[in-house]
Amino acid sequence: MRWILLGIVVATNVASDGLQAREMKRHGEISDFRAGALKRTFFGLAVRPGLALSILCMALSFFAFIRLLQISPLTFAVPATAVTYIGDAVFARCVLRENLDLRRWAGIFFIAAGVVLIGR
Amino acid sequence: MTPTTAPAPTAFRLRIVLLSALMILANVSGNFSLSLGVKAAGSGSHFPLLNYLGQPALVLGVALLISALLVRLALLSAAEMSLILPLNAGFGYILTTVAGVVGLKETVHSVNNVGLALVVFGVILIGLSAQSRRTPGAGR
Repeated sequence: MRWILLGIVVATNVASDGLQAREMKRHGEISDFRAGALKRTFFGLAVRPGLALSILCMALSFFAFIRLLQISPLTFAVPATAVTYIGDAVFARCVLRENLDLRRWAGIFFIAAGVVLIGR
Repeated sequence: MTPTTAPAPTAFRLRIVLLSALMILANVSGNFSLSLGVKAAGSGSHFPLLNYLGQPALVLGVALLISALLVRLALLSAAEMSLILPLNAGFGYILTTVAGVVGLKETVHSVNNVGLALVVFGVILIGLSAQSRRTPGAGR
């Protein structure tokens, strides 16, 4: 059961991150940080289905993580979710067509490995 | 020459650094505040949600985390996902550990220190990979 929950946590987390990134790229860079412009941007973003879906994925991930914590120790749950960083990188490369060089891949793997050890 | 929406490289990087700092601060302080609020609320009531709503620290924590999410969206609109997310997560882990050790007097074991060192090294590597690209539209 915990592996299924872990799969749900990672998949929904990656989907949430990826959808947010994709929608924000489509929106274009936010460069005007005055109150009026931010308000317009906020309401413009609020009606985007992709972003709404990303928030839903985020909520699903949160509740699946809470359930995971209920049935498995923290020392399993936190390190295991470090796989999300690898999933994000794969999503960025395959879906968003980002150019990840060797240093960035290595950095992501080091962070994921570090999170595994921090959670021990 | 037609006007372009892409800002100058220096301004672009400065904005990303500032937004990243803001997001990390909002995230770490939000989690910290949330933790204080949950502990203060306790678990004595049959309606824990009502207890939670009455905790200013918890409400502040939620507000800070929502702010962090909004800043993250602004960051994702300006830079690559593969750069922003691991960098911010890495810095977040480092700051949270420092806050735990300094602020809450928590003990960190040697294996955790090795993990933290790996995170720091990973953050440096990702930072170096970003440094080597100076194109203003990175992320498109």
